[in-house]
Amino acid sequence: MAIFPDDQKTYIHNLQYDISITMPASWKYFALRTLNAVIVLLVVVFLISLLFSHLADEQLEGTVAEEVRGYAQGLPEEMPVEERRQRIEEYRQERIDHYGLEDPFWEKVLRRTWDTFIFDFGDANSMQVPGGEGSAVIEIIMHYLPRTILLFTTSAVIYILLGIAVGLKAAQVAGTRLDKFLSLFGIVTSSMPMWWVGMLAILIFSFGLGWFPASAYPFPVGVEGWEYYSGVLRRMIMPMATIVLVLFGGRAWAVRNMVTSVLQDDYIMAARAKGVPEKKVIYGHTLKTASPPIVTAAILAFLMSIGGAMITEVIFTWPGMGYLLRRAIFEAHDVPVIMGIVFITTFLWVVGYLIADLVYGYLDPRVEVGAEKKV
Amino acid sequence: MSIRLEDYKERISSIAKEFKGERMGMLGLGIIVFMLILAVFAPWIAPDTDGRWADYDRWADNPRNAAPVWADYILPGSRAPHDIREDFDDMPTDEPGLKVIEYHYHNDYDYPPGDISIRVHGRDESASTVQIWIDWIREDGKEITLLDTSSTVGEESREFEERYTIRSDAGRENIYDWAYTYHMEHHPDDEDPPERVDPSRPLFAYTDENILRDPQSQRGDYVLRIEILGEDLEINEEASRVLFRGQIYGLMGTDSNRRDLAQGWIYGARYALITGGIVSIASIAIATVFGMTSAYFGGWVDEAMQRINEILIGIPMFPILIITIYSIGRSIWVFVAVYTILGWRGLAKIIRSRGIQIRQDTYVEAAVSLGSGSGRIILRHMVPQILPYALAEGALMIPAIIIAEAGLSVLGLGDPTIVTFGRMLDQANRGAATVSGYWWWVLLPGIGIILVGFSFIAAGMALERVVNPKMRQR
Repeated sequence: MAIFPDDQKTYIHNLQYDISITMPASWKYFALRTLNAVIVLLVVVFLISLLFSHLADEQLEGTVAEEVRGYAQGLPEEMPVEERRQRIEEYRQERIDHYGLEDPFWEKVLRRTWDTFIFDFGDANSMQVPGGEGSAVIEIIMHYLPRTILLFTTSAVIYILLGIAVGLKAAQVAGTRLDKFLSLFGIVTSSMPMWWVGMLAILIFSFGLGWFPASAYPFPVGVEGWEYYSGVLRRMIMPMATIVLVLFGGRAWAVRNMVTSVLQDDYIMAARAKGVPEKKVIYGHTLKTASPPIVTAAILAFLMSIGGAMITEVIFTWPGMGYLLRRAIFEAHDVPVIMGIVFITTFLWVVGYLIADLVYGYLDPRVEVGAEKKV
Repeated sequence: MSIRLEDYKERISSIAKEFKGERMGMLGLGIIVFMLILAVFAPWIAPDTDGRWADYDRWADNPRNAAPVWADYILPGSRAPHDIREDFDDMPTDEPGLKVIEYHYHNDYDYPPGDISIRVHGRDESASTVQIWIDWIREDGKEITLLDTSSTVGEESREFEERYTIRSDAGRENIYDWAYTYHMEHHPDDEDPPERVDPSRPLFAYTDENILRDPQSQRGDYVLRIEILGEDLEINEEASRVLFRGQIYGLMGTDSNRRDLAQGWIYGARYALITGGIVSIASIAIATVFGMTSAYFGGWVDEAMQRINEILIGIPMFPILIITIYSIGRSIWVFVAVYTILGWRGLAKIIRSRGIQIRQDTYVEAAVSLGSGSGRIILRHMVPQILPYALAEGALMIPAIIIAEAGLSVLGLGDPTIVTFGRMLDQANRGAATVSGYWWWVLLPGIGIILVGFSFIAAGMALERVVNPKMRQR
C-alpha cells in the first residue's frame, strides 16, 4: 500500500479542482512547479540540518577525540611532556577548525543545509563502504541504492500495469459482483501494512513450504552469469510479490474510479448512443480522457510506497536503502548516513512529484496555473 | 460569536438517519465502538501491562511462544493448556523433617507441556541446608531424577528457596542422559547421536527409537514428586508452586518473552485509537479553519494560502517523521505532533474547494448582505455544512496514520514506553517469529492494524456517500 495515501488523494483532488479551462499549458506552469519543488527541497534540507545539528556535532566531537588520541599515540616517546601537550592541543584545535565545530550555530546549520543540498554528506560516523575503502556517506548509499531501485522499479512496473488492466476490467463490469469484489480487495489491501504482508509471506512460503529463502542476505557471492542472476531472482521473488500484491488492488480501484467517472460524461453517452462498440468507448474515448490522472496517480503511488517498501526491505533483509536505514538507526547510530538517506529519499520524492506534475501538464492541455477557479 | 448547538443538530440527525442505511458503514462503526470500549477499559481488562511490557518478571509465570487457545480447533493435534498448581499439600510421612508432595498430571495431548517450573520456598529453624529431590514418574513406570540438590537456609532469615525448571542446565542434562540410554538401546551403533533436544519432549515420550530424534507423546498419568528433607521444616505455601507451562495460552498466545499478546493487543488498539484520533481530529480542525478562511475571503488571501499549502503538500511525510523522531525523541507524542503539522494540508485543499461552493449559496450571500461578521458566517453557516465532509475525510486518514506509526517501530523508531501493534510486530520480526513459525505473533497484531484501518475506511466512505450525493452514482 501507499504508506501515505492521503497525500495521493489530495494530489488527485488538487488536480481536479485546480484546473481552469481557459488557457493552454504554459511555461509559467512548468516554471512555477519547478520553483515549488526547489523550495520544498530547501525547506526539508534546512529542517534536516536544523534537527540533526546537535546530534551531528556530538558525533563529530567524538571523531575529533578519536583523531587526537591517534595523533597522540603517533608522537615520539622521547618528546618532552610540555611540548607534547602543546602539540596535541594544537592538533585538536586544528581538527575542530577543520570541522568548523566552534562556528556559530546558524552558520553550521546553513553550511550543512548547503552541503546536503549538493549531495556532500561527508564521512559516515562508524559505517564503512562495504567491500570498498573509506566511509563516504554517498558511496555507502550508492552501494545500497541500486538494489532498492532493482526491487522497486521491477515491482512498480508489474503492479502499475496489472493495476491498470484490472481497473479497466472492473470499470467495464462496474456494479457487478466482480467489480464489488475488486473494490473490496483494493480497500482491504490498502489498509494492510506492506511489510506485514511480507512477514506473512515468510511464514507461509519460507517457514511453511520452504520454497524461498526467508532472508535475501547475503547476496550470492563468487558466482557469475546465470547462477548469480537466478540467485538474486530467488531472493527477489517474495519481496516483489509482496509489493505487487499489496499495491495493485488500490491502483486498480483508483483506475476504475477515474474511468467510471469519465464514463458518465455526456460525450461518452453520445458515443454509445451512436453505436460505437463498447471496447472502443473504453479504450479509445474514455482512456484518452482518463489517462492524465491515471499516469500521474501511478507515478505518485509509486513515490508514496517508497516508505513502505523500505520497511519491507527490513523484513526480507533485502540489502537496500531501507535495510541500510534500519542499521544506521538501530545498530550504528550513524547520523550522517541517516541524513543522507533521508535527503536522497526526499530528493527522489520531490523530483518524482515534479515529474508527475509536468507529465500531467503535458498530457492535459487544459491545466493552467492558479488557485482561482474560472469555470 | 459562539458556536450554537442548534446549527448542527438538524444536520447531524439527518445524516445519522441516512448513515443507518449504509451496511458497511454500520459495520465499521460497530468495530470502532468495540475498539473504543476495549481502549477505554484497557487498564481494567489488562491491568499492569502498559508500563511493564518490557519487565520480564511481570510475565514470568506465562509459557514461552504459546499459541492461542483456539489453535487446537484450526490446527491438527492437541496442545497442553497452561496449568498452574498453587496448592502444596504434603503427604504424611514417617520420617520427621521430610516432606513429600506429589502432583499428578494427566497428559492427553499430542504436544505435552513445553516446560515444568517449580518454586519451593520454606523455613527451617535448625538445619543449615535442606535436601531437595525432584522425581518424574511416568505412565510406563519409569522414573527420572530431575533434580538432586541441597539448598542453603539463610542464617538470619532461616528461609530457603529453590527455583527449578527442566530447561535449566541441570534439567537438560539429567533428561538428556536418561533419554540417551534408551536411544542407544535402539541405535547401538549410532556414532552421532542428536545433541539438542527440547527437554520437555522426552519426559512425555515413548522410550522408543525416536526418543531423541522425534519424540512421540505418550498419553497417560504422570507424577511429579518433590521430596524435601530438613530438620524442622515448614513450607511457605503462598510462595511455592508448580507450573506445567502450556503450548497454548490466552486468546492470542504469548511471545518469546512470555508476554501475553492479548493484553498487549488491547493496548495496541488503545494507542491506535489515541494516535489516529488525535491526529485526525486536530488535522480536521486546522484544515477546516484554513480551508474555510481561504474559501471565504478568496482573492489574494486565497492565492497566498494556496501557495503555502502547495509547498506543504510537496513535503514528504515519511522522511520528516524519521528525522524528527530520531532527533527529538522516540515518543508517540512527537509522532502525533509531526503528523498533525503535516497531516492537515491535504484536507484543507478538499475543504477549501467545498467551501467555495458553499460560499456562493444564497443563504451565505444573504448573511453577508445583512452585515454578519466574517467569523459568524464561517462558524454559524459554513462550518456546519462542511464538518461532515471533514469528518469523513478525517476518518479516511486514520489507517495511514496507524500504518506509519507501526512502520516507524519496525525501523527502530517506535516509542519504547508504550505497547502498540507496531512494537509487537517489530519484536516479532527481531524475535525471528516468522522463521520459527510463531504465526499468532505476526498475524494478530497485524489484524489489529487492519481492523482499525478497515473500520475507519468503511465508516468514512459511508459518511462520504451520505454527505456527498454526487458520489452515490458511482
